[in-house]
Amino acid sequence: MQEPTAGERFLNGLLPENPTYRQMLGLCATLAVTNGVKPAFTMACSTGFVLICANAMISLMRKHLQPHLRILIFTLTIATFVTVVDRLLQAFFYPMSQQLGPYVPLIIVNCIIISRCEVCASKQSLPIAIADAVGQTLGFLIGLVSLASLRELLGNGTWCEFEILPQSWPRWRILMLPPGAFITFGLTLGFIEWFVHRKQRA
Amino acid sequence: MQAHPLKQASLVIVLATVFALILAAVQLGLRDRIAQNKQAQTLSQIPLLLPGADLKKTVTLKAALEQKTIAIYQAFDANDRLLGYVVPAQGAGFNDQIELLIAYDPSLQRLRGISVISQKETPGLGDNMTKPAFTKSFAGKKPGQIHAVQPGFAASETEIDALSGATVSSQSVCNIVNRVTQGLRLQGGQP
Amino acid sequence: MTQQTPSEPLLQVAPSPHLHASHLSTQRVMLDVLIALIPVCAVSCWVFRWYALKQLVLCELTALLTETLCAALRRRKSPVWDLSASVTAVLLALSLPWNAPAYIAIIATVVAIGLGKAAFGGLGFNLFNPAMVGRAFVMLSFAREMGASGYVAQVPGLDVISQATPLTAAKQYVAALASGATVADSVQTAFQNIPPLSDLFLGIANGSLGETSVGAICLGGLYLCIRKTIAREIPVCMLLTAAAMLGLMQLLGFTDDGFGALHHLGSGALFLGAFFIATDPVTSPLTRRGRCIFAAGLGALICLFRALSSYPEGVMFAVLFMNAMVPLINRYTIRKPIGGPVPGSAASPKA
Repeated sequence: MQEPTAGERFLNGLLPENPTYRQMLGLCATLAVTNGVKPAFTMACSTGFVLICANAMISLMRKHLQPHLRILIFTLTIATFVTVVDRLLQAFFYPMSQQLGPYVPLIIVNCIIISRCEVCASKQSLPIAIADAVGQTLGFLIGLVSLASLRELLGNGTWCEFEILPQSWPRWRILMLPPGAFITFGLTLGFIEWFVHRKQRA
Repeated sequence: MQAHPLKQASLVIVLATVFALILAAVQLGLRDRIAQNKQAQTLSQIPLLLPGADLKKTVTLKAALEQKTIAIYQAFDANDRLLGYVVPAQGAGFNDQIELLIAYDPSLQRLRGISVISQKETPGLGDNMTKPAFTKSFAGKKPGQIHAVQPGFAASETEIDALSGATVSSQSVCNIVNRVTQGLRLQGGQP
Repeated sequence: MTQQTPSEPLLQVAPSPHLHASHLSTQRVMLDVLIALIPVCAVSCWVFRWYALKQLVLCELTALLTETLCAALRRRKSPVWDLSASVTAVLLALSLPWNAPAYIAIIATVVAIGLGKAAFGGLGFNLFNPAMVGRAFVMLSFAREMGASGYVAQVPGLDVISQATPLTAAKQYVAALASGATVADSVQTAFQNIPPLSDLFLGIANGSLGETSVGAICLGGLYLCIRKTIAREIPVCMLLTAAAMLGLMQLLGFTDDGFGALHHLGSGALFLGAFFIATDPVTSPLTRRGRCIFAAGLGALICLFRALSSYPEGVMFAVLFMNAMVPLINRYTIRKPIGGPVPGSAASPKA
């Protein structure tokens, strides 16, 4: 099989290998922060920053990686960038960092990042690794913001904290609660599976 | 052939050193800003709780409360008249910890209001505690024995209209206020 | 040698079971449940008038529509004639507050049929009781309309609904006493106006549409037991456990003397849950021993929820919780073949 080019890797991240809907990685963060578009957006950007930086770093070091020490180095790199993001958020977006709470430090264990380090960045050159990371980031952003939009709109009548639905529209509060995350994610996932299979059959 | 362990780990050692330096730099660069943010979040509430308070004249006192040293803010207006005290407090809510700021009048006998800093109560019910309709209802009440009653039935100066029929979240707030007030009174009335 | 065409086999071979119990078809079982629900619906319409009728009709129509739509999405014939959607709709309507707005009834029914049943693959594959899934969804979404205040209103000619539900009144009274503060007048009045046991038996009390009349529920439940439509051990075990727990709680002083174990048994959805909701054959365990564990767990959980949670009633959450336990109970109570596994064989469990 031919190795995908940088462009293909970028496009793959958006939908065909979307981290949320197709790979189903990083679900802890996905379920936890999608009760609003703003926290979801911040989370996707933070994860994206860590992902791109870690991928670039690992790609630069790939010739020196020892197979049995590679996971250690991945984790070390990721943890450093996560700490940097956490501090930056606290310094410049204090209310948002309070709202995201423990989920920013938890980016360290987000499987998207370590899987991209393992699958792509540790084997590919810098441009390909960055293209891959950017594609995955955008894919994660699409996943998080689409879920958050549904939940915030139906659950709170707002989008990005702007009032969209009239006050008379009943708010489906359950969608803002943890069960709502599972319900919305399950139904959206089912819809996308159905869509993909329909396209494949056609 | 196995290389020497130290040689194998050389990349790890170099990386760890570099990263430690980066993190130290970030921490040094942002530390003050983060501390300032935390302070500002509390201070920005004081003029809302005690209208007319001049932030520049606010005095931060240290008080021992429940085996902890906390900062109590003494608020003055532009003419140096004492407006009251603002005390940070926290306690268990229905879902999670609730963090409050409680404003007292200068005699510590009456409340001037509360402000909810952070809470994770039920959306649609308990989380309405951040709204002025609830926080302002504490103004003028006598702290120490306040409790939540069915919405619309608060009559005396120790009763607060609850947010919903199940009074758990509202009662939690009342309990925090009562506890902190009693703690302050043990100090002898004046901090 | 005669040539056999592939379409006409020499021997008819079909997998077991070969015996067919026609009186146990889904349709017949569901019809029995519907018949048993007639007294409950009748009392409900008598106590709550058109409010009950409105909820019943609304839920029923929505359920049939949703069921047909979900089947059409999967290119199947509409299964409305197995009547399971109708039973779900009636049970759901009976578990709603009389005053719930129309959109709540509609959303609850769509969620019950669509999410509670169709999303799992249709009848027989659902993990949770569909009616309770629908109710939980609207309960958590529209807490104000579904909570304590959703039950109380002033309507001329309908005195029943001007007071809090018995469980809510008792809960608030006990909570107020426990907090050590003076009990507010409104709570005091509501507590004193809790209907006597005879009214709770007849159904002259405020509450969800179908839960008020213990008598009507028992009548329907008795019919189901005689017809052997439901597993009798479920209501028996559940009510006995609940009664024992409530008695114990009264002795220990968790409940107030003015609202003792008998009042607790007679109010809320305990009986409706025991006869009609917990007995759903799809979401209850397969073995008799399993069903006893299931029902006892339900009874105990309901009492715990009533005593310790912030909600006055706990049937819905208890049913959903125990539904989730059913696969575990099934595995634990699996029946051994006669004689048991051969000792020392690979199949025998390690002690």
